Amino acid sequence: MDALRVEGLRAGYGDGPDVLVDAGLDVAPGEVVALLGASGSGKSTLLRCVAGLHPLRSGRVRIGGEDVAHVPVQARGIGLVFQDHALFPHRDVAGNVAFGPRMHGLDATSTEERVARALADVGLSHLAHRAVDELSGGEQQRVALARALAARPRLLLLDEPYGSLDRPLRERLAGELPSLVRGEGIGAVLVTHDQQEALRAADRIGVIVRGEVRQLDRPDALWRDPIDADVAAFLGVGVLLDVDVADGVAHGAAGPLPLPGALRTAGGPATLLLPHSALRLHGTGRATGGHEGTAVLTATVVEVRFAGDHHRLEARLASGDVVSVRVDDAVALPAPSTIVELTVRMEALRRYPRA
Amino acid sequence: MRSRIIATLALTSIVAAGCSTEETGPLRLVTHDSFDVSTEVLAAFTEDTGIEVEVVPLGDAGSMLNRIVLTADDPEGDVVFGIDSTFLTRALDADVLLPHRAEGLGSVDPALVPEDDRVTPVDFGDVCVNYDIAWFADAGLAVPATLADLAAPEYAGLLAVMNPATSSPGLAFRLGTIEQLGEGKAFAFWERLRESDVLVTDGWSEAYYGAFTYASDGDRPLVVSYASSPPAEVLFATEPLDTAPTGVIVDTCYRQVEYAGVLAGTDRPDDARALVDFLLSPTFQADVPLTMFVFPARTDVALPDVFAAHAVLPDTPLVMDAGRIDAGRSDWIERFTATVLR
Amino acid sequence: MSRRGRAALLAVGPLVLLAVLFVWPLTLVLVRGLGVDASPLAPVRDVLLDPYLRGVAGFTLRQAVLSTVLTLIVGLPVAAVLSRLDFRGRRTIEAATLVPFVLPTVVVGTAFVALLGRLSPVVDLRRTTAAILLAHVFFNVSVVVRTVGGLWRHLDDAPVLAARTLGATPLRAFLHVTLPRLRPAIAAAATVVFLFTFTSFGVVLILGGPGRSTIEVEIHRATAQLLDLRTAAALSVLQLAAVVATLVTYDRTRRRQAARPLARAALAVRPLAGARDRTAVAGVVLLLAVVQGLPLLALLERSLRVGDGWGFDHYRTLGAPTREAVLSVAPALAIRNSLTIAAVATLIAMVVGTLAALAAVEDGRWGRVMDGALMLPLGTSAVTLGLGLLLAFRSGPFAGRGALLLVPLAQALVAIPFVVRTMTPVLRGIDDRLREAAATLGATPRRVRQEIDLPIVSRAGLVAAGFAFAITVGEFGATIFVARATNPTVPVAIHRALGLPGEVNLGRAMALSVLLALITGLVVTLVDRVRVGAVGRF
Repeated sequence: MDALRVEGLRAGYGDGPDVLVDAGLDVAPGEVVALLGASGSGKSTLLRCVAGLHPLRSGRVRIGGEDVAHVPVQARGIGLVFQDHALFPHRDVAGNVAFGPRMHGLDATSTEERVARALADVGLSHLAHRAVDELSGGEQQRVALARALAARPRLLLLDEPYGSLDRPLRERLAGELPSLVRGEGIGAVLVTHDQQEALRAADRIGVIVRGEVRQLDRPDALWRDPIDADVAAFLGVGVLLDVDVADGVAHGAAGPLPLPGALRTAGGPATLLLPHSALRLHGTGRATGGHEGTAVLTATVVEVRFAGDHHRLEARLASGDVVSVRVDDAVALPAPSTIVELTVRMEALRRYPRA
Repeated sequence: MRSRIIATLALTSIVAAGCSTEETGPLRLVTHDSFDVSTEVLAAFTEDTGIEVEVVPLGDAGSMLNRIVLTADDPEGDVVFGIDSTFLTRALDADVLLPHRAEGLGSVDPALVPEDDRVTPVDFGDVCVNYDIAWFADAGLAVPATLADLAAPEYAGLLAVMNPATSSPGLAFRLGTIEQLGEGKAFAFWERLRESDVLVTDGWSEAYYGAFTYASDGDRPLVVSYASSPPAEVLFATEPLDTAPTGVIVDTCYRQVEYAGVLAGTDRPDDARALVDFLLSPTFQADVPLTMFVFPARTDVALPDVFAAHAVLPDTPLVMDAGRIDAGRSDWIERFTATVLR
Repeated sequence: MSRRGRAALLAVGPLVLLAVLFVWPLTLVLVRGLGVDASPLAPVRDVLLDPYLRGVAGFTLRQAVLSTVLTLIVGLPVAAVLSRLDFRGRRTIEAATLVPFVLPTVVVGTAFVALLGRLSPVVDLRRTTAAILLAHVFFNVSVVVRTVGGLWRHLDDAPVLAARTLGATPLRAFLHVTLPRLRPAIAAAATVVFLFTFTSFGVVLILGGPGRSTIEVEIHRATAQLLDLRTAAALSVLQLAAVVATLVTYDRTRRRQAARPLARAALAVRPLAGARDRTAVAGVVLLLAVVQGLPLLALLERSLRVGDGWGFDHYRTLGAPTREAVLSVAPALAIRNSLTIAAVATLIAMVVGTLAALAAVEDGRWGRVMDGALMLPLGTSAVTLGLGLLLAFRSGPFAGRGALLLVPLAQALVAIPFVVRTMTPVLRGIDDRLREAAATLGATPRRVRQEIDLPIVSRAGLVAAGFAFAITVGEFGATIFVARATNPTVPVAIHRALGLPGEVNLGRAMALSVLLALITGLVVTLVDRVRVGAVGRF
């Protein structure tokens, strides 16, 4: 049974247009699903709809198989972690964490046990009686997480929970999330705009564009096969080229590209995704010019950057698009402004209808 | 939560309404803030007559009288005590009092009894310049003997007086200067006082406790106060004193008489008259010196020892006719403000 | 119901109270005073044409403006240090700044006279405008410290640091970044201080000496002594016009200020770091010691002076009256009366103030109207209002024993604006997400109100109540007017003790004043202890 299943969700503000249009989502127990989207894409609204903090215009939300249309917030069995934590300023750390158990009518002893466990889980046992405004940002975030978990929710919702933290801490906390969620055997939805964070935390990632969950998939599948140009653009998989297909060849400003069999279906205008990962500097590596399944494009070198364990070459295609190509260390690095040839691994290309 | 707040408000107004339930309360004695009476003396009156008395002070003498005049149609009490001679005409003109010839009037000094029978004299006191005995001894300076001396150069910067516009003793002292020197000379006198840096305060407390060298850290060894202030200093000293530490310049004394009367709006005129009679009774009269630091109107009651020993009773105090006061008061106060304060 | 409708409904209570206790009594006085002439403007014109009264009005305005500026100059550094730096005794100092606020003017006057007398060989400020200004600073510095400090501790440092990195000196960063952001609080504090000093009465008379009269003094003179209601009413109209102009100006400046983002919760004060911080703290402590400490010390010294030496004699005798007389109530009883009446007044101020704050939260326009209207009594002649209360309530529910309720009601009127200003930002500032977080954790809407709204608001309420209590316990003007003789409050008892000659009486008045100061300090300190981070302050 799904921890969460959302179908055909529509929602909006006041008399305004739909912010969510036919959004759908499913989360399995023990799974973390990250929702990635630009700001204003509707991802937080989706979370609030699931929590019951925002009314639906239509659609269905099931938590643990139960349709929660008529279940008020407090009875949905969810834990919600807010971006700036929303800790209760008038209670200390333990008081914050104890809130959920108390609301569920637990006696003092059991509440204490839960609080102790939840604080131990997030590594904050030593701060139980501190005032919340004396904590650092990271500590506050952990308290918020402990507070949500101590209520034993069926589903954990996190709305940009690491937004106010610095990068290393953000990634560390995101990395801790899957084991916590698996340990509890509950589902979790993490809303974020940060791909690194999503990749760290999530089993599957959903991309939400203009109020719609366009694609929900494992990260590798998502990056390999973006379902449409919007998803591809949001993820930054590669450059999108406007082309006209005729006789199996895509003609565009970047130069002609013979399409592989699967993309030759019909002629006419199309948008072609050229993933950065499909490109190699000509004459290097496995892909060499003229081989089956590859094509060659010329490009002008903009700059060459060292990226940790390899170099990346930024080069401008004839169409003006800038691609980023991985360069193996063995190769002599071209100077800026020189013209290079790039090998395209054709099977990695994706074709979308022209928008 | 909001509904609870509204409920509380509603409750408050009910309590307020409950408080207003009229009942035959005690007889109300309207008076000024300086009034007081020994507990057992007032209890004796209630025991004798069965009349409960509630004392209602309404500010200083001037404010009290104004309130009586303003609320003439619906007074705040049955009897008034503390109308003083400087404001007598205002009270009589406002027609807020009922005629009453009090028992015991025969034993009162005839000089204190007015022609109008709507007011009964109860006590009198003299407003005089007081001086700090030790200060003058230390300074090797002779104590000024007369009113005119006060404006002499050697006493420049030594005197504190009160604004006649805001203080009853201030006005009394002012009237005294006019009575003794005549209007024209009095203003010349005040002009000189101003040149010699006289200090003018709003009220008696500010002058006495704010400027008088004996009673404060101030720099004025001369202050307008009362003839009864020296005995009060003896009575209220923290360590027993044999002689009064302050003295009175007799030549400056102006006499104020305090009157009582039955308020016209009372619905218990007989009880009210009984209370006025009580104010003139030997018991109350004997109580007056030590509760209010004034002299009893009756001549046949003994003064307490501390008064007998330390109080000064001038033979010929300055007194101004009530009609003259009333005619000149506003103008004099204006001119005082003009000469001294501007 | 619309928000505006709800706001209007909530505003009914406060506005009715204001109408009954302020507008109606004031109208009665004005009608009586101005109704004598054919044109109600004739008396006003006469006053305006009188060169003496014009001079008085000029002096009133000048001293009020100077006092306000001086109070800000002293108060701002104190607010800066107390709201940003942590050091031992910080809370005590903060509570202590409020103490002078509640002392009766006569007592403060006496303390200042004593102090200035001792200083006179060095610098003679006796009977100068400077003495008036110093006393006004002494009284009002806490208004600036509380109002401005309250905002200051919510401002985050980032913009200042940004300015510093862009090359601004600390002073320029303060002038161009911090000061503009503090402007709403500074305007609010300045308005209150201006209103208080514009209607100043006792301080001017005691410390000013001859030739320094304010409009309030002239109103007192015309009303209490001359029974010249015509002039009194005309002066009151002028005073009221000036007060309304002040409030409108304040409202304008406030409207120009769009709501600026604050750091979400109060920033934690930081411990002292380096010599500069220590110098700043030392400087502020020294400043307060001179401006507020010395006069209080003079008061304390006076209360301990017995004959030529010192002792606790005046305190030991506070349990009993000086004489067995009807109006000579034991000071201990006066203290009880004061505490009781102030508690009732505080309750009333809290209820009415909270309603007003709720209305302000529902609808900003109502909020502004309420804020202005409720400030009016602060700037109105106590003499005129007292007379109006007399005319309005000499019969009816507040006559006779009903006056017992009139005292706390009148006191509450003074405290309400402070309650509104403490509660509104807190009510407005409760983050909706706290309520949502509670709901997701299983709290029903009722439990949310119980567990979130109530505790947070009640803590803010406690702060407001502490302030209201401090104001009402020392309130004198309205109290002396309506207080029953046999139930005097401490200020009334002090006033009475000062009405008789004799060392015992003076000592008793001073000892009572010190007690009043201690009680106030204690209440304020206790209230400050329970304050939580995100809760606003007056």
